[in-house]
Amino acid sequence: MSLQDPGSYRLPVLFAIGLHVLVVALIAFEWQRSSRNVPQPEPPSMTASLVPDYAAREKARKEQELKEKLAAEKAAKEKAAKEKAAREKAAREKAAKEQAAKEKAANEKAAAEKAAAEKLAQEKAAAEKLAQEKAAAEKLAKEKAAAEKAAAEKAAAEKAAKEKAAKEKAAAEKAAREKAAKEKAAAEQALMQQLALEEAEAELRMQEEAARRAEAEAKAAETTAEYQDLIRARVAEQWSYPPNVTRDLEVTVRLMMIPTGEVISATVIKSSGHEALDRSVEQAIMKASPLPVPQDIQVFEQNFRNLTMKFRPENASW
Amino acid sequence: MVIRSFMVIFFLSLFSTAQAELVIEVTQGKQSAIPVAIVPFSWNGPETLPEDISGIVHNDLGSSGYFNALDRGLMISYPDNPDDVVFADWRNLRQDFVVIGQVTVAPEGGYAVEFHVMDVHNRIELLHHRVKGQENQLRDIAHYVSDYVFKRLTGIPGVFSTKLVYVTTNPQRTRFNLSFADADGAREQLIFRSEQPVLSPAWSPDGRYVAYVSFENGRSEIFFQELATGKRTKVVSFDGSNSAPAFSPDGKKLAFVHSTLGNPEIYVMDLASRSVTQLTKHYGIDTEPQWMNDNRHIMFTSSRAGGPQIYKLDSETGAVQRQTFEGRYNARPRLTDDNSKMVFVHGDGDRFHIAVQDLETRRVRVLTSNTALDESPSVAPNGSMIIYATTENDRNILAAVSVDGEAQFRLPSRFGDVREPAWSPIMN
Repeated sequence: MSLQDPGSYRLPVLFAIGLHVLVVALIAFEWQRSSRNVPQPEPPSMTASLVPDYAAREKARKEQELKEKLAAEKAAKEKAAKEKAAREKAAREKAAKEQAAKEKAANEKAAAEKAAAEKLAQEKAAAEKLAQEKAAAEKLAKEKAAAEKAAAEKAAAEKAAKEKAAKEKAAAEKAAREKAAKEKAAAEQALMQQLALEEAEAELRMQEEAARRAEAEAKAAETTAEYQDLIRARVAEQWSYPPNVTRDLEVTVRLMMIPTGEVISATVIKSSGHEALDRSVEQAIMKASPLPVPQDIQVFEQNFRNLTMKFRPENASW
Repeated sequence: MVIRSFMVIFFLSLFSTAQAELVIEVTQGKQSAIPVAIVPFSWNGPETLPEDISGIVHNDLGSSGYFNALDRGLMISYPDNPDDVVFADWRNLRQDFVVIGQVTVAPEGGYAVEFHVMDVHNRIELLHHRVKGQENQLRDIAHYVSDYVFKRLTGIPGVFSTKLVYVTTNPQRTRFNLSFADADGAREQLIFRSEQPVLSPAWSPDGRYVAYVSFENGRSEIFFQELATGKRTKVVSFDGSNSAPAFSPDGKKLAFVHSTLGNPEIYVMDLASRSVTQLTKHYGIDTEPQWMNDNRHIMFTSSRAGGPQIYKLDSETGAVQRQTFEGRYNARPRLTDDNSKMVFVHGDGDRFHIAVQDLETRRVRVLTSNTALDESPSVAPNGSMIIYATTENDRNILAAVSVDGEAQFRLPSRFGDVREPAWSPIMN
């Protein structure tokens, strides 16, 4: 059997299988990809907007800045103190080393001198024998005392120097502290001034905002008056009341509308006592629906969603 | 601090504006006919009904001046029960109300009519009612339905079940018929027939009697006739002429005009004792008395100022006060039941029209414009319509006009001339 054998199905079968695999692979690949591209339903266009409290935010920001500045200052101070301590320690160690070297040198010199004196005494003893031993001993004692005195004097001088350095250092530190405090006070005062300035600016902004709001309110009042007239005209046009009414009758109706102006309900809240007149009013409103209402949703919500209307047939003539 | 107080003021102002709710006042509307659709009532019987009930209701309401009845041909559907009423369709047809109904055979015999009134705009059933009657009462049933619907939709009683009395004559003036009919002119019945003139029919307040003037004895005399029995009584028959009878609203007195030597004066008769008192004494003509509903004052026509004008007379003191000042001819006063308006004939050159005067504001309005020689107005007992006699193509016919002048129509008449209509009180 050969692939070329016309009687064999092997080639077509292989071909078919290969094609299927390819197609399935392609579909699987595409599917995976496209499945991620399913458009997500967009949320209904609803925007919630917060009225930002600029003043509070500004104040918080300033407080935060102040805090940060204070923290930075503290960190700097701490760092300076640490560095100074390190410097002082190094100075102290160096002084101690020098003193140790000096003492060692003095000791060595003393020892050499002593050895020379002893040698001299031994030679003298050879000549002067025991009589001179006492003098030598005395001289030795004298020299030793001198050495001790010199050492003591040196130590005292060193101590004085040390004290003086300490004193100077304290003074310097104190001056630095005072200077820092002064600088800090100055910075704080500057900050306060800036704060006051910013507060004044915020107030100005508030006033401007209030002015804008007043303007918007005036505009809203204008819109309201305009639509009030439109509604009155439209309902009056639809209002036909029964013949036998008198001019002094009055019907009060409460309407509920949706933003399209469609009237959801019209309820008589104060009857005229004339059933047919009451009904004519309800009908007039329903006939006039949808009523003209402002596009401005805020004006609508404030003045038109719930609306009271009063009807008096003042042009009754029958 | 400043900012805070600022905020407080701002929020307070928000609050206060939220509380002051908008109120819109509407003071101008149309005092116009109410559009109503009277759908043909369904009937499942084998043969057609002798009366088209919904058709009668349609005519009643449509001719009242208070309603515009929708032409049946314009209706989209003919629902016969409330569930089948598609309000949107009727709203598109600009209807305010739809009347639907069913006629069925009552189990105890006769017919039953069940009807509903639907409020198109509030989308509710306003009322439903059921009424029964025999075959010969189908017209009465129809008028009853009209009255019921009329009362509920206008707030005042309907007058479709009332009657009219009137006089017909042949062109040769050799036959005079006193007849009465339904307010729509149907079912005419003869009360009295004479070869001599018959004039001035007037209803008793209970609707049982008609008073009228007859020349059957060669001079004018006043007769009462009971409608149910046809029994006649001669009541006023003084020497000279006796005319213009008018019952007081309490039915106890009859005002009339008596004339000797051509000087008509107004008299009153106490019906229980038949005693008579003269009320006016003036060289001018005093005639056409009409009682006010206090049973004391009388409106009448007098020529004491030259041309005919209307005056008000106190029957107890005899004091007289002129009522009409517009125009040179004002006569034949009639009053609405509540006495708020007076209807009369108003002359304007050679034309005579029906006019109405508001008794409070004294404003006068001419109601008829497409008729010219109008006379004898009579007001419907609900004050809504006026029927009067007028001339058309040299014939006397009856026409009606609503008190606002909006609706005007002519009543059909069988033959000859029709005059002197008088509208009955509401009879229960």
